[in-house]
Amino acid sequence: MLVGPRGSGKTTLLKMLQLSALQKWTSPLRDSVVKELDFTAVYLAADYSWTSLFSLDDRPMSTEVQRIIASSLFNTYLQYSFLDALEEISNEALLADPDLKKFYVDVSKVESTICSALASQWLLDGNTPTFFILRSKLGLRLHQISQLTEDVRAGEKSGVSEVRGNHPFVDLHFSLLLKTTVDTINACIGQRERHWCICVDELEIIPESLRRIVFRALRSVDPRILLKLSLSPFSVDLFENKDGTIPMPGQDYSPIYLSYPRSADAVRFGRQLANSLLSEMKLESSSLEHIFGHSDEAAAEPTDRAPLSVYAAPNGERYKLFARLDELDPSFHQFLQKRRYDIRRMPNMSESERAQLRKLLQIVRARLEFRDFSVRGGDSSDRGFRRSRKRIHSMYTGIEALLTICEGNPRWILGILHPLIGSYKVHVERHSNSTRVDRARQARQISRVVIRYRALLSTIPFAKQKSGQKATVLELIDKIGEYMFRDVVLRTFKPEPVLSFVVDQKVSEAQIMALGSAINQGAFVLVPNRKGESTEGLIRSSRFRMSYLLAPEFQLPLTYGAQINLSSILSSEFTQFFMDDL
Amino acid sequence: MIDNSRRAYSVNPISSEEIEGAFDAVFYAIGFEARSAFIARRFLSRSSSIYGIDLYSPGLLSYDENLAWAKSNNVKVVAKGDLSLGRANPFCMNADGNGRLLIDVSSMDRRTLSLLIFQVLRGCVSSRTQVYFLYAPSFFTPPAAKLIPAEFSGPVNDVLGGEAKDPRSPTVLFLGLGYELGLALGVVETFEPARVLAYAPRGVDKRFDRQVDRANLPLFSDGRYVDRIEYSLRSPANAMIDLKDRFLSMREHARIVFVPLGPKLFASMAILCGYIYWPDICVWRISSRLDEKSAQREADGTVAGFRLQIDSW
Repeated sequence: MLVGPRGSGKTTLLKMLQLSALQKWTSPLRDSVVKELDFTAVYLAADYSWTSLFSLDDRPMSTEVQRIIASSLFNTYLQYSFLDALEEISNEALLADPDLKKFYVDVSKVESTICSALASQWLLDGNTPTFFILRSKLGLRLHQISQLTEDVRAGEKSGVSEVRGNHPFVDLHFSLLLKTTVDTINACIGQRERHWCICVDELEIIPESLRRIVFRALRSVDPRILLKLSLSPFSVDLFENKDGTIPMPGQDYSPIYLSYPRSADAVRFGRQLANSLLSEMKLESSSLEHIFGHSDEAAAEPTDRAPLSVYAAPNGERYKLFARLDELDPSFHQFLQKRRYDIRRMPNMSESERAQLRKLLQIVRARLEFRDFSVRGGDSSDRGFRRSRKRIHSMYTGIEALLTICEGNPRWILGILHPLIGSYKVHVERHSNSTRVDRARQARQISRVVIRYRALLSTIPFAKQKSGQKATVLELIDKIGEYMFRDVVLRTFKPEPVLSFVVDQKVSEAQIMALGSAINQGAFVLVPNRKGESTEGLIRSSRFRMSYLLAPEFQLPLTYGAQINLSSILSSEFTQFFMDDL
Repeated sequence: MIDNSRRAYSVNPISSEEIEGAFDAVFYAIGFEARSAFIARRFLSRSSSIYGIDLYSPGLLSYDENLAWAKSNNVKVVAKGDLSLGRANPFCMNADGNGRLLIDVSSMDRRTLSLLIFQVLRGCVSSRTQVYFLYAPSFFTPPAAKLIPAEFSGPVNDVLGGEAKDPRSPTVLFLGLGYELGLALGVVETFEPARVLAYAPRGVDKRFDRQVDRANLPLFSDGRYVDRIEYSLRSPANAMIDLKDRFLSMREHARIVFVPLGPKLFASMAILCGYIYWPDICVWRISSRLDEKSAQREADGTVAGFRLQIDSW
């Protein structure tokens, strides 16, 4: 079970198991991976049209009728997927590939037999001697299902028995269909033990009743059938253990999480992917550092490998940050005094003391960049003023910051880095010299990606409660982002300001739904507990931080700090957030 | 459902003389916009029946005033719920000879529009019916300065949800552009289509055009798969024909989704295509939370539209 937010690579990983993708794969890992494969992938993607069928109550239909119609659609798509897989295994190009030829079958010799047998299993009427005709009949089946749906809605058919009447195919059950299809194909091609892997993508899109059926199929004992499912993190109905019969992670399936709570892991993966982009564009001789430059001091997670000179007064980079804030921010000055940190002595401190100070660097940086210390009002320690915010700050540029922002999410990595690498390549080709991609251009590209991302988030509808209470994804994100900004930058200096939250019991169901949608889009990342355990799928009592992709928009440091109950954030005064960067 | 097997549809421009005559029935929305009754007032004396679809927004902007006007001028007020797909046609349609009907789409939300069109098309029994779709452009009001969250995202009604197709078929989005910040971009990000045909309205007031362009600029920044098509609000018949022709060229090989943001005239075209070519088109709506500051609309005094001719046998 692949679990990850949008853009984390679930679909790509599943699709890559298909023979057509394996043929084109050129990674050095390919040979070892393909040698291990002992199944043929059958890829099936859920479709938005399935849920949109039942999203309205104009002419309601019973839950049971909805279930069998949704099931019929899903089964038909499964049947299409098997046809695609049969087409793939009969591709003669496989014979030229020493690792893939083991999957080849000359299906043409048994086409008529397979098609007739499958048509019979799938309850498709009439003579079906070819794959073309079989495929066409599946198209007619979809049309029948559509017509059936309309008949039910128009009142011409009501109740399950009437629906079943002339349409026995509605009773095909997923698990049985799977088994009989595999039995049929294997018998026809003379490979009775051939293994098949059904890759079901975007499980969260399909209706709940169907999702449970597919999920339960993970407990199948047929050794020829493997299931690989992909799912967004927030799918409450699957992970809340109301029912003891649901498959269990570690026993019935292996969960694979495609998100990185720790930025070091995300950066490592991001670097690998970015380097592969360089290879793809024939820029192997250039390094990411050369193309994007290093990030400014304390923009991203500071390393402990920096020389002691960076801590030394008066010109060490890290010293200067501390000294400047010490001068401008009375609350930071008080903090240093209280802890008895003498920043002039940093080179002489023990490594553990310096490590404590190192943890503060990003907070210090954020306060220096985003707080206007020239304006003092009232108790200036707790009510700072924000600097004008028009563009993405250059602090988020440079390769370390860029990779941190991308969170190891392939879509974001490609969205931010790919166009920039492309423009670098064009520049190199035109001018025969390699100049780094300038910071302003990097910032603009981040802005473009964030704009698209926020636009997507804005189209996720309200979650509504029966009480009428509403919660929207955007407002939730903005409220949390603004709260964290105030705590990091505007309030009294804290060594660990609030940069994460725990979903406590006071958070409403509508807010939970909105939060779940946001998590599925990658806006919040689960922070594992101290033991490193993940409570994936469960929201209440879990701890989350904001995605670093949104850090430039809210001017937050690329780190996570103290936690607070989410209800405390949501009940605090809300500062309206405007995006006028268009 | 609407039986199209014994019907032919054609779309034509409208001349100002055409709409000076009498109408068998006029349909409009009793809404909160000031322009809500603009066309109805003009045709009050020239219509045998005038139906006001009550959008029920008491206390909101100009709604109370519009409702009062309707009641004091013998408008037949029809509750929005009475248009529901499962209900009988609430209108008395002309069964003899030629029918002339007028639908003012200006203040109608897309869902109500889809239900009204459904009832009108289903109720047309004359051998020839002319349906005039009219739209009263408004004076420019600036849009909200921020992204407005969506309240609903889904098919406009359960007839126009489209039909599942061969999963290999690519999704093509016919996207009407509006001037709301980020909405069209969000739609594209949601559907991840193989291709987008983005219809940009061009009106008389260039401020609208500039705002549409500004709000949708990011949509075209990665323009490999987004085609921009401009259409004139002054020539909606041409736009309808263009829409229909492009759809027909792709019908067999793609899954077609219409998302008609922007002017309601474009939405009416999309909905009509949905019914005429049922079930091949999914018509999707995204309705955003109301932003009262930018919601008021006053008619600028002009009217635009197209005529749909329905021949039945």
